Amino acid sequence: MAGTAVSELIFFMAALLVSSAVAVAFIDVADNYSRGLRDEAALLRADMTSSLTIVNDPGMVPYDNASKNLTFYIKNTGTSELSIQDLLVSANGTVFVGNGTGIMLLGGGIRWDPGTVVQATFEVAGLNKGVDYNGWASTSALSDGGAPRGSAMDTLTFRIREV
Amino acid sequence: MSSGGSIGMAIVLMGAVIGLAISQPHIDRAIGDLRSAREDLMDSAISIGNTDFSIEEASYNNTTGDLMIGVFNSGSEPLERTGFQFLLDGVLWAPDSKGDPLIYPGVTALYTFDNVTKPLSVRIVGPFGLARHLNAGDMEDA
Repeated sequence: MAGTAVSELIFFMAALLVSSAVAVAFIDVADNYSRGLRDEAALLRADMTSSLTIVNDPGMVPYDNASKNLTFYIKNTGTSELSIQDLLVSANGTVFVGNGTGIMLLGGGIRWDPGTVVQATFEVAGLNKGVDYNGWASTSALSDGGAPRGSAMDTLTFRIREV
Repeated sequence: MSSGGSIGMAIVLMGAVIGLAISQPHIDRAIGDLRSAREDLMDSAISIGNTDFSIEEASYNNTTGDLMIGVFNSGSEPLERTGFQFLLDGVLWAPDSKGDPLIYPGVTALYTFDNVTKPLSVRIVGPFGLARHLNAGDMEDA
């Protein structure tokens, strides 16, 4: 009789432990899933609102033949701020990271807000007149708190104009 | 079912309910984010659809080297006067532009460039990256 009571108690305790563990797992999974969903939504929102355009004249991209410097003008054509620090520009296979001295925000200001233009000047050797080249620019969008959220990219097929 | 089993089921159900309760604000916010992103996207698509401009006039004064370009708002939304970029022969130039900060639909805004060499090509970039192009042959002599 006493043995039955003890085993009942053990089963009872085991049931409590197992069910508590399952409950905690439920809570954890739901919490993780909902946080992930929220982050995904925020990322999607940032992607939808971030856009940049290389606004150069495709037939006349400025190229300094002496310094081998090429100049891209990149406009924020989205509705969210873009990161200057995360800017990557590339032409003819040469990639340039945008936190160097060749990046200039035009029109004053310190933020790359919608409608503003960044001038990126970077060294690309061996470009010739009359030849088509491919270039691209990419950066991340910034949330209101300044954290990277989403990304923007544009490509350009261009010819140089020696300046 | 034993009392242990019943209480265990009750605890599991309670865990499920608490889990749902915890996730509810996050799900609400995620849905809100998506809804607002969709509204932003629709607003943006409407704005893009309603935005258009053309080059109404362009003239170059060979004596003074002054270039004058008239940008006509042919869309149905006001455009910011400072929202345009001008590339003369591929190089970005800042125009001299005075007047209303907004270009209303049906209105032409004049931009002038002092003392420049007559460009062979002018590219004008407006909102959303919309661009118009002008050749030297399109410019009248002032």
